[in-house]
Amino acid sequence: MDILLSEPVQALVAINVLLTLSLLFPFAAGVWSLGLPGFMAVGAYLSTWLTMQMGWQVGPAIAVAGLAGAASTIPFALLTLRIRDIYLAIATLAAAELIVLFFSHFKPTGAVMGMTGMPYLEVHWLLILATGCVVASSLLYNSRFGKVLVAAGSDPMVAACHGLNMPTFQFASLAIGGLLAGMAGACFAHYYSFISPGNFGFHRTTDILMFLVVGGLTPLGAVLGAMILTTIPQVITSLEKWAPAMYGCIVLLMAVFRPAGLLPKNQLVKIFVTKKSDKNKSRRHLVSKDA
Amino acid sequence: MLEINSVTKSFYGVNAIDKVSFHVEKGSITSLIGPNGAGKTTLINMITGVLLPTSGDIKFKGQSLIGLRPHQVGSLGIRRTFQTVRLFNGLSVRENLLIGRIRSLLGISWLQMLLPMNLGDMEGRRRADEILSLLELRDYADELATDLPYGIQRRVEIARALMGYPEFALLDEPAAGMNEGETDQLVEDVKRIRDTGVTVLLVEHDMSMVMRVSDTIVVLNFGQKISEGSPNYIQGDPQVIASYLGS
Repeated sequence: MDILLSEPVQALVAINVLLTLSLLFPFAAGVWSLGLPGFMAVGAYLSTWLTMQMGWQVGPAIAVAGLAGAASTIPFALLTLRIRDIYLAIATLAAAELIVLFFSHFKPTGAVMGMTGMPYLEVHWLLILATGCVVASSLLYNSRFGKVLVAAGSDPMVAACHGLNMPTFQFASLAIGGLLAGMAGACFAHYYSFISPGNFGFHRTTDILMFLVVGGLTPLGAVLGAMILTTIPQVITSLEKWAPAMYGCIVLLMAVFRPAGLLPKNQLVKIFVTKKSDKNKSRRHLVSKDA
Repeated sequence: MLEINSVTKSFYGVNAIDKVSFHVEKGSITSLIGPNGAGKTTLINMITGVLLPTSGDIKFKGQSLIGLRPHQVGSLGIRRTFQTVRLFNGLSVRENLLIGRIRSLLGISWLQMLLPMNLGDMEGRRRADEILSLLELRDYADELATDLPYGIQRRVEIARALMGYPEFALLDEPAAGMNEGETDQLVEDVKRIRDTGVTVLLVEHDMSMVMRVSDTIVVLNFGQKISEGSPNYIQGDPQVIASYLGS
């Protein structure tokens, strides 16, 4: 179990948790955007530039990288006005590839060779940031705003007929995803002190998508999925090269036995609600006795 | 209250609705009936901004609804239910109702957006309780809406439509799939809704229900209005009988 507490594993878990949460918000709202590696690259490169060229501290650089990640979702948001569902997934996938392609050819960022030498960020900062984002995401997901996102994901047309302006909420869900991905990208850059376009490829999207599928479409599900699937190949290091095959088997088994993920509903709310309705039932029972 | 003036909707050259005109009086229950494919739902979709009419005009309290988006029509005080039950998956009955309050909150405070559903907005929660009592749904308030029996889900849809204090409610086949007892209850519900000051436009197949609740009935067949009048008049109209039973 020592391996679980090692710093590289902790860092990887923290970054993957951030990325999984970044995919959760648009997906909960029914916006199937796969632009995640693009937003992550924007955050990573911006934070690198700010710290190395402009002499910024790492903390503010990560915050600004998050905002830049959110801003870079604007073209993706415009896409959502025209196309949706699987078509949106393909278009955003291509758009994210374009961002990464730009960095592959942009000489000042080292093109395909990438960049190195960013200021190092201690692991405990990553853990604090990730924990903060998990708490904030859970609160947001259970707020009125979060409920509107769930409603939009369930049936956008019905939500619109109840006076909710769908595009604004869909844009906001994308922007939150971009914010988290941008910060995750910056954390990646400062922990590994090396980035190259190869770090932001399609494999990143598929990994994170899998964490979300296994965990379920809730903040706690996302966290659980990311933590379990990130640590499994690390625990059995001798099997690390088999990780893709293991992931494949896990996803297949999940699809058969628990298609909605490990935590498909908000468990905390569920416990609270069951308690309450039990109380109601007993009260109903009393009423009928009186009658 | 609602004026429909020679509205036409054509899909690829076929007129699903052909120059239909009628008025809905304030405080009335008006029913729109007609055989399958008569264009009833198409008409509702045009009123609520889901579809754009090819020609003609739709006015609500003198204001044209043409070109408004669904959420704009919704915030004018027009709410609807759907032909198939379309409740929000993953939300409780109460949350399904409160969702309809949120747009108006947006204007007041972003901070309230970030609070959980059960904090703040006393007025909204009071309204939700009021409607749940009106439709006798209080016992189900905290259950997941999509876990409930079908007939109750249909009534939750109506409750949700009432949440935003609509002046005008469009009910699209509320009795579809209901048994006789549930339909009887629905008749009472619709009358009670009207008595709270809501004008109702009902699209329905169930003749026994339509004849019991309507003040005025509009009959569509193949996209055209073939008759309009009181339930007694419609029951005796030879053209209506022909379109339903075949001549």
